[in-house]
Amino acid sequence: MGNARRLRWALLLLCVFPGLNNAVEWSASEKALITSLGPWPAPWFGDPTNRFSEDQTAVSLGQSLFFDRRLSKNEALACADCHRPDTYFSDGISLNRGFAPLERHTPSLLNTRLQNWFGWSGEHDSLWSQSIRPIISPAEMAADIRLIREKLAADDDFTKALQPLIEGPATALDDDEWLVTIGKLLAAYQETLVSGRTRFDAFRDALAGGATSSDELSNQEQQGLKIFLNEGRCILCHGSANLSFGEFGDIGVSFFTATGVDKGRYGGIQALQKSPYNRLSRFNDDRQGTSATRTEHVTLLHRNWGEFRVPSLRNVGNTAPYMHNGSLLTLDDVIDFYSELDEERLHFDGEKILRPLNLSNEQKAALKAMLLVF
Amino acid sequence: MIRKSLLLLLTLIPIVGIACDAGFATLATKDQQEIGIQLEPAEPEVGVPFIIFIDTCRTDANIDQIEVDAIMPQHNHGMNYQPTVAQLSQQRFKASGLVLHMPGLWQFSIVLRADNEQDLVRWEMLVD
Repeated sequence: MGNARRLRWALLLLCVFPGLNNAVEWSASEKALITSLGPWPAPWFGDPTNRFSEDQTAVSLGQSLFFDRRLSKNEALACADCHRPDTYFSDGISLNRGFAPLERHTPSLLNTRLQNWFGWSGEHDSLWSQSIRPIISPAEMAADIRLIREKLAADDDFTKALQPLIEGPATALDDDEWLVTIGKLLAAYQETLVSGRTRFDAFRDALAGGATSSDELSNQEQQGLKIFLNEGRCILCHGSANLSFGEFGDIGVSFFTATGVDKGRYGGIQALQKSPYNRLSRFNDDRQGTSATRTEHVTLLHRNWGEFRVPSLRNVGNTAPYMHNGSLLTLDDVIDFYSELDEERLHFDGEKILRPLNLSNEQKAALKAMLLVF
Repeated sequence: MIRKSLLLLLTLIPIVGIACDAGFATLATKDQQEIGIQLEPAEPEVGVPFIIFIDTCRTDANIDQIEVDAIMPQHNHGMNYQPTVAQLSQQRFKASGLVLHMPGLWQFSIVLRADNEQDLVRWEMLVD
């Protein structure tokens, strides 16, 4: 093929695919930020507060309990009835109901092992204590622990599998110890629920390895990533490999419920400090380390009103609807929310990093494209 | 010979001592005093608890109480956690429970109290 002909083909390709000549460039600081969003899977070394963490027998027992309706009143519900495996361990609806209508959206259980706080208001500081709450909550599974205890103690298969994991006979455990045991078994299973690698992770790894860019993400997706890192400021809260630093924020989503007000993190800290199952309790299996540091030092602040836990954005495209109350039905709604943010709804002493993004349609499409890859 | 050197070393240590804030970074207070600080780990990560050791050996005052805090001045918020400060020795303090929950510029403050007086140190740190 002659040079003139090659040139004509090249020009034709550029006309049809203009992006071919417009590779997205990344600054050193942007590359550092992208690198900080990994690696995936994120390193994890077990939960020292849960002696069943990473124990295969416990994981197996926990999995069976996760689908077991004996953990609820009238054997009506199991964890899996709301945290459905076929919907990324969420339920795909705004607000579900147990024995009563619920006021908070069912979060996905994928990657929960990376969280420091559990529940939309962080009322629990461990996955196992969080796992206890819905079982005994009157609105959710409404169980009586004494009945659960009777049923499980009479289940020879269960008690035979449990016995090597505990000291002394199961019959010697009191009600609290039974609840905590069940919570820890459930947590051991939930720790195994980890989402897979995405094209973003491959892109991140390429840049972390020194590449200037990567075609793992399209130009549009990369433009969306730039918005995420820069003018969107999303990374300030949705950072780290889990795409959330796991703390709390008030972004102006209403805290009114059908029956009153959801105090958010304010109520969460109050509940945490009163909980008999927090990391400062006798049920924390970590006797040597510093696993209770956050619980010891978390402080109740006025600004905690209206704050809710910043969720991970991994699989965000698959876990609609969104926000603590499921009030935003689609990702487009979420992007519009931030683009047209109502600053009047933010608390006076709230997060000053938030302001309307005023995104163009092209920018919204790019940001959505990137979010769908996470 | 070796034993004599060892004996000499052992007798000298109580006299010479270890430098009062060896390995600490020196900061000037508002009243032109100096304190030493040491972070553990040296480069805190977002969301991970860390400790600040404070050494007051170079100050004139007999510091008996210290408060430590941090804010993000551009965002108008502080930490979600209240550090506690323990006095390890007459001039050594340990602030625990600091957690920086967001990347960006953080401004730290240490209030030093002695009798009815107080002094202040501030410094800034960019956290990735």
